Amino acid sequence: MILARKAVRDVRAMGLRGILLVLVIGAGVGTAAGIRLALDNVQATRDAFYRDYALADLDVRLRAPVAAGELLARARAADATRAETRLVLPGTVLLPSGERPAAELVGMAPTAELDRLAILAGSPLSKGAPLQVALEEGFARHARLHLGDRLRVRIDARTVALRIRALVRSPEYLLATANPDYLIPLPGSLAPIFLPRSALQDLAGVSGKVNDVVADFPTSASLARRLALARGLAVATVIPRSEQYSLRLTNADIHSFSVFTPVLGGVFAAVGLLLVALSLRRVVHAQRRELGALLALGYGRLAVVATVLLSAAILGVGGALVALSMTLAVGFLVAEEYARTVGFPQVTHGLAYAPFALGAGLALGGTLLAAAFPAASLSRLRPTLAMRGEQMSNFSLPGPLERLTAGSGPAFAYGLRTLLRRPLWSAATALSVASAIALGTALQIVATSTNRSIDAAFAHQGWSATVDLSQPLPLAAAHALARAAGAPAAEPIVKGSARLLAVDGRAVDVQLVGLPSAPALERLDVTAGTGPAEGAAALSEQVASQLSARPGEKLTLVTSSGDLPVRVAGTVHTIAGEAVYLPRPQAASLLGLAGRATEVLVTGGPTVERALSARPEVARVTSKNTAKDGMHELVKELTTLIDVLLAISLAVGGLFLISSLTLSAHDREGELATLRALGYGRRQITIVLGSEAAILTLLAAVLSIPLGIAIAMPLTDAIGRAWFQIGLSAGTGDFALVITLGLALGALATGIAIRNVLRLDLAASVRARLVG
Amino acid sequence: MANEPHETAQTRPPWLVELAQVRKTYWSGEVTQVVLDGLLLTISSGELVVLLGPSGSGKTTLLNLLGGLDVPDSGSIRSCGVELTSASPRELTRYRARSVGFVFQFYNLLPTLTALENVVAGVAVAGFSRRVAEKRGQAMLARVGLEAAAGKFPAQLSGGEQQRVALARALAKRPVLLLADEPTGNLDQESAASVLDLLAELSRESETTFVVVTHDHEVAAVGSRVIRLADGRIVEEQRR
Repeated sequence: MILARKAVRDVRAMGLRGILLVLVIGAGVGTAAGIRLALDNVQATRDAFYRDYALADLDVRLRAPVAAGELLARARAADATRAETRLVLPGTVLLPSGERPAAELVGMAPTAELDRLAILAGSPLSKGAPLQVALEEGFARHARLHLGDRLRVRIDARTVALRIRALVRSPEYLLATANPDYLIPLPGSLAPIFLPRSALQDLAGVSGKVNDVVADFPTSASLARRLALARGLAVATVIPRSEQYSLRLTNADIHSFSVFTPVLGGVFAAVGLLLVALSLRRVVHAQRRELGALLALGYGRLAVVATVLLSAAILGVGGALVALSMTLAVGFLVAEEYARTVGFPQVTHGLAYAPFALGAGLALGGTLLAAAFPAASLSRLRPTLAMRGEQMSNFSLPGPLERLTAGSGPAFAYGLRTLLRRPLWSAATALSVASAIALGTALQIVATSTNRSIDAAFAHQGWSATVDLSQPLPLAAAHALARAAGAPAAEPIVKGSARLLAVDGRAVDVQLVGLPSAPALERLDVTAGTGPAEGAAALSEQVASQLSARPGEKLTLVTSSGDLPVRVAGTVHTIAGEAVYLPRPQAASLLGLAGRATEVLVTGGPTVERALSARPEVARVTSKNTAKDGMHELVKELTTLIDVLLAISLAVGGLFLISSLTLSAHDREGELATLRALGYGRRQITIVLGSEAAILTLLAAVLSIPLGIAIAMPLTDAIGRAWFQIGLSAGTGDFALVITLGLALGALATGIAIRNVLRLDLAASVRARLVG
Repeated sequence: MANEPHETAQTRPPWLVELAQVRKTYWSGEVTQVVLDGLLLTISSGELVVLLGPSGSGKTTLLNLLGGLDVPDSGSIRSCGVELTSASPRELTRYRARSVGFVFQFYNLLPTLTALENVVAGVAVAGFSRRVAEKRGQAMLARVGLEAAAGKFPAQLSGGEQQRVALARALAKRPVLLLADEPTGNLDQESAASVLDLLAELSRESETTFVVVTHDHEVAAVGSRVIRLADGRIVEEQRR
């Protein structure tokens, strides 16, 4: 009981040191657990939404409308448990601001059960109000459109005025983007507009016809069985649930974050626990005489260890409470920022048990473990030895350092040797601050590398705009279309969905791209082997990586029109993630589009683009600059998320440094008070503490450079797997800002420590015994 | 008018230290303890003043006030030309650096500095160049018989040696006032005797005024003036 009381009072007597330790214990593991919680909540929000609003198992879109009955009959034949037909057409929204974002008009049954709409505001679709539409809420927010607003949309060559009847969220367009080829969402780039099917059929003049079917299947139905629904049809896209864009993106993000998480969380947790371990070692050793006295009084080893562990447990519980708060705060911050960045709907902030248990458990367990080792080793000492105090008596600097500091004066020498006095502590502090700075630099490097990769990928291309055709056109017509618009050069290509199968049964859903035999505008950046040739496909690096495919290996391309055995010609670096390139005639034949093109790459300026946009055969024109700027804009958005992580990282690093310097100064209160008693004023105390902080932060800054690159590598790799391959490229600017911030934190930490020393009660502090 | 300086010198002797109505109390919870109660004291240059008294009599508090480590609740303390009760923290720091040398019961040597560096640390802060500080440090270490230990760290020295280094540190800058708090309180008899002899010799050799706080009557024997404190007041004073 006495010992328990001692333990509680020991913690109370620690005052500021105790508070700092509790903060350090909680901050590191809390940040790690918070990132985990954010991911769990994002995933849970998505899954709950998909479940509640019935994301379909399969979506088959045709190139041309057919009778609704035919599609429903095929669905039944393919054992679909539920199927609904729709008419889906491309269009363009004419915003008052002059912007012309792409639109996807979905004509659906107002009572649809698959891919159901979640109405956030307004009323459900009604056949009685054919031109009143539901607009996807994310787009509405981006375009500043409200309930009741008029919406002008161009479909083919017609412009129609629609009224916003509802603001909705759709599982199918949970994350909507105009360029799903590039697995990076561009919020506000695509307007999903929902209206009664009959209304859209009337607008398009295809009464009774549909071009899209969504269906659910029994879980036992194989993919091949499900795909039978599309076999033989002129299919534009076949999207199984697993390939649905929002699902793919969030899966990819969660996958890449699941790589980020151990890297970010691991660094925070590891350095936090390291610092705690060393801090507690100091705290335990500071009680060396007391513990020796307890042993001398006849208390057993276990009782002595228990006293220390009880103190540690009190700190650990405090740390666990901080960790829980940090988990909650970081989880909220990261999830909200992620949602805002990618255009994800409101995240439901659940309180999943695992991240909280992880944070609190690590905080408490780590603290107890950190205290147990020094306590156990001290308890093994003979009481007289324990009471004698620390053994270190020689603080000579290594030769070169001794010479370097020979003329530096006692204040600097004292500061420098303080670091040497506790080499582990100093190394841990430098490492923890370096890790925090390195995380920041790594995140900066990721952003820079992404931007540079985007620039490099676009710079490599010969085209100035891509033209998506409303319907596949014969090659001659595609050329004529470009010529008529004044394009100096044009290159029709064909694109469609396919599945690539490896010999070992692994499969990847890909976009099959058919290129002319010597493409002049779509220039492939071949990184291994050669470009596509008859019977030989070039794979994007991601596809090759997923199938572990190398040049020369045999694979099979499967589409709704048939199969084609191909050989791997080579790999291609591209920002269009999962792409496979074949010569155009072979690709077109496999997609059931022999002699036709679905897209035209052109050269020419804005005049050409405007002329092409005005043509009814054209669904969408995207200039290279628009695409590139859009992606840069997105990276800019992503850097906001990175900035949040950077701020957290620097805040934790700052806390480590402040805690470390304050604890170190607190430990040496008697010495610093003696210096003050000798007449050392603010300037000299600044030299003492400033030299310690400067060496630690400089060491941390230097260490942070290789560490930052080392951390950036798995991060870019993770992005590469999720989005597109990114070459690691770091500039001075990536390091400069974060390191400057780190040095500023060092100055702040020093300022706090100096202030504390200048406020010491000298009369009391000089009586502290310094050397045993 | 011509006689005025002489008259002033006669009526106001050149006190180095002058305390008037100094009162200092400490609060411990709801209990107020008066440590110094309207203390009046003057000390002349070159004196070796020994402050004797039981625990809690106010000796160390008085020493801390003289050293500018603490301030009184009321009254005035003028030392080495500085009014300590109204001095700013910067002025107090300068006062400690230039005019005062401290010797503590537990030596208070900086463990990461060698014996010589500890002495130099005390001199350099008084504004001397590094070269002068080192020269004085070496000379003072030789004077206290520790020339050979100049490169040793405090933990490599005995208690008596550490206290001699502390004395060297306090005196090397040639302070006007040396304040020693129980300088032999932590030493064995032999070391204590050696330190005491040294203290007496150094006091005779230098122009520095010594104020030594002690329980030890043997220390009192070396003082030119012995002041006995009890309950925050001077209860006895002897001059030799």
